[in-house]
Amino acid sequence: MTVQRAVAASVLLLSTLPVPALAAARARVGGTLRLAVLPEVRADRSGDTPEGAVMRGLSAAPLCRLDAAGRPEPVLADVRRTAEGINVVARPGARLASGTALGSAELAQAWLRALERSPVARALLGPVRDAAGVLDRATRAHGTTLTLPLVHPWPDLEASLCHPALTPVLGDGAGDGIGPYVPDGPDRARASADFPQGRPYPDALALATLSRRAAQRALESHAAQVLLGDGGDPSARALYATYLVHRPAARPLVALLDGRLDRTALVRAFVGGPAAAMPGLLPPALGGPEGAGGSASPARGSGAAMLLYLQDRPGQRAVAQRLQILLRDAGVQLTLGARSAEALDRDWRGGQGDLALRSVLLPPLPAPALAVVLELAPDPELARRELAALGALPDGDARAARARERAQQLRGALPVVPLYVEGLRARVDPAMVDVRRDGFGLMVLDDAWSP
Amino acid sequence: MSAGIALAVALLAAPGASAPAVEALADQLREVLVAARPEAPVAVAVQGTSSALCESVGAVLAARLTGAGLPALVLPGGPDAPARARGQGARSLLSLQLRVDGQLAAAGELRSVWRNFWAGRTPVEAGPARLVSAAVPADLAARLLAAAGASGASLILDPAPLARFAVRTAALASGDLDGDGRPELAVLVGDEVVVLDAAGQPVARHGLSDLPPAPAPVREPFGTLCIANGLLAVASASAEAAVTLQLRGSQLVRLGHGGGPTLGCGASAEPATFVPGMARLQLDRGQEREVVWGGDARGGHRLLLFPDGTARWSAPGAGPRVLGQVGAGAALVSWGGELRVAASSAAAAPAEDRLRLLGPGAEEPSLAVPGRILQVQPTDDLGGAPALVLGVWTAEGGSELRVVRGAR
Repeated sequence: MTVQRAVAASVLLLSTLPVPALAAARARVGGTLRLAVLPEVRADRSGDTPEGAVMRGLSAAPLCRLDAAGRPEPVLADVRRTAEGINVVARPGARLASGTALGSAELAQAWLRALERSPVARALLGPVRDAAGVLDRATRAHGTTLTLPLVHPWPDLEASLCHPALTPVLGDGAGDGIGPYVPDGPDRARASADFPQGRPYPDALALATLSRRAAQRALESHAAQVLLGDGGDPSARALYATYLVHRPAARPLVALLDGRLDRTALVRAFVGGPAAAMPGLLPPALGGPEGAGGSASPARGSGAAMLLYLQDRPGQRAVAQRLQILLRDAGVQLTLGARSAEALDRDWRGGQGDLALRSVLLPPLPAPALAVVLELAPDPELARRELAALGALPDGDARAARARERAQQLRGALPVVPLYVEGLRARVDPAMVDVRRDGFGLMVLDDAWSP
Repeated sequence: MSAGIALAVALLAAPGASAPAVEALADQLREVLVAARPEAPVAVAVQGTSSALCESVGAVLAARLTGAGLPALVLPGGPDAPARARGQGARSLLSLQLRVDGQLAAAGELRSVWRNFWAGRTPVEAGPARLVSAAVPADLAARLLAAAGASGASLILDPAPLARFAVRTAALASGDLDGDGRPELAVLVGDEVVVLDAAGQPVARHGLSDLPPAPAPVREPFGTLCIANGLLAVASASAEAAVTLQLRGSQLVRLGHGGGPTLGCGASAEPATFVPGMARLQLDRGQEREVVWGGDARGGHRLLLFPDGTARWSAPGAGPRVLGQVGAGAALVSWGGELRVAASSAAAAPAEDRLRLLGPGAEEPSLAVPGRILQVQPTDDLGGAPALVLGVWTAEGGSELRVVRGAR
């Protein structure tokens, strides 16, 4: 054997030494994404809460996604500006589980349902001229383009359409949207090969509704990769805001809370993290003030009132009970009325109750967020005036600054008392790859995979 | 005593340590060498990615040989090792290459360095050469030494990215598109192709969103680019059809549709097909029809990258080599006058990836690069010198082009 051949042989020997099995640098395709969800998350079928929005997003994606910097990325539709407003154009391949392509009629039908039940949807589509009429006519039209004329300029509309409240969902079933997974039953779903952004990497999705303790154990033992309803990242954007809204006649009752309501203590003792006190109409994540808010000497009153609250949100129940005690100390008898999200919106708008706890996922831009807050106050004329003035500012920074300023000025004038803001309660197995957060602070699991 | 040897001594002396890998390897080699009966003294020259590990193995082996009645000395490895061995009075030279994977392995040759006076000025190698190899399971000490000594001394990462993108890169190519004899860079990113100059400034862009979408959309950014004969061939896994573009001034003009993805570029290119719905390829011809996540073809060499973190490197007239721990970003590159594989690691989602230059020898220069390397592209002239351009995915969901150069 020549020296050269000997060396070559030795190199071959080295190169063929056994190597350990390795993970992949590109995404691994296959396996099952396992989610453990708490019962209150499972109850949120409409995706109103951050956790519910993450869960529902797996089988019903929003029209677009806002990235962390606030840039919209089309998912199911492209949005194009016109002289009069905007055109929402469904993307090729966006099909419901039934096989029906997403068109203007389907989108209009979904948004009419959203307008019925969600104050957030009403606020986000507020700048559309005669939104209900336009959508109603569109349900009888054909084609893939939904044209929305605007009543005043609204530069933040493209970003607003990415809100989970405007997710095109045609019914109450899990398969009535278009998502990366197609439901195969109540607790299982399979990867959708036709999803416009491509199939997700796992082949399947499995949901398990567990108690908090069992869900924590499932995550720790790697039986679940994602837990929805517990834990969270305090540094992530918190936009799920809770307000105490009241009838004009109940204003004296709310004034009794001044000096009695400590928002920081309320968050610490009854809401839990990740959450923060919200003394202003806009949360700290949108440039609103931080801290517990001003204090005054407690006054006393008398009478009785009814407070509506969300029955499926344990934190809201605890806060309602705390308000009941505070008002009892002030001499007011407060009755609590538990409602589902849909019933609460319907009953409050129907005139039931004197006070209500309203929780809304705010858009990550100050001007549309202020629009949502104004929707909680029953003064459409004020809202139109405020929003038209904001929409007339073409510069995004100037618009945001003006929205913050107006939020501060309107703080005492609206029958809307800010209480606290919450972030997404979720934990994820650290081994998961490509789990990111969108502009709402929500976890996007579409790209997630396990090595 | 060098820091590496001090570390080795400390580790070998650790209480409770049983049969350290470096000692076990030295014992195996001693047995082989004693049986070979080389002429003493024996010079030991060890090479590998870690100088600390090489020094430790050399020192322990020399001590073992001396203890066995074969006086030995340690030399730095390299092409002039025989001359240095002669200069130190050695009569035999043991040249070893080291590698640490699951095992600590050594392979090399033992030969005489005696030169026949009557051969005159012709450097005729004389005496019998003998292949020597040994391997033992790698232990913590060996791994620590390997890690402590590994360095990226021969590769340098430019401190600032050449370009940044808000989304992740799908493909990267280099070549002359404007006919000035200097290469441009082409990047497939999002739904467009961007041509950059050597300073990373965009020269031209071309949108692909008008192309009919692929029948099965792909989630991961994926495609191939090829610059040959002044034309840019673009195949995106998101689109049904490939296109050919030509740079005219600051515009990329679409010349036509057709073609498809390739491994490599130009005359060596291997045609392939996208696997529907996945960031994977399959070769259109030949025996090797496994699903790959990419590869390269250049000068008769072919590199296939497999989803299990291995790569197969076929060279003309030689059997295929299987390389371990190779990621999705790898290419055949001409480096230091020889063809090598520049490869990312196979780690799932490293915060810091490692680029290695795998070559015919055991030496593997390597370099830490922040992010995940998904594309590796050699370029002949970037700022006046050849370089490697890397497509690196960042944790934030965007990407960067990073430049790697050889140390001067």
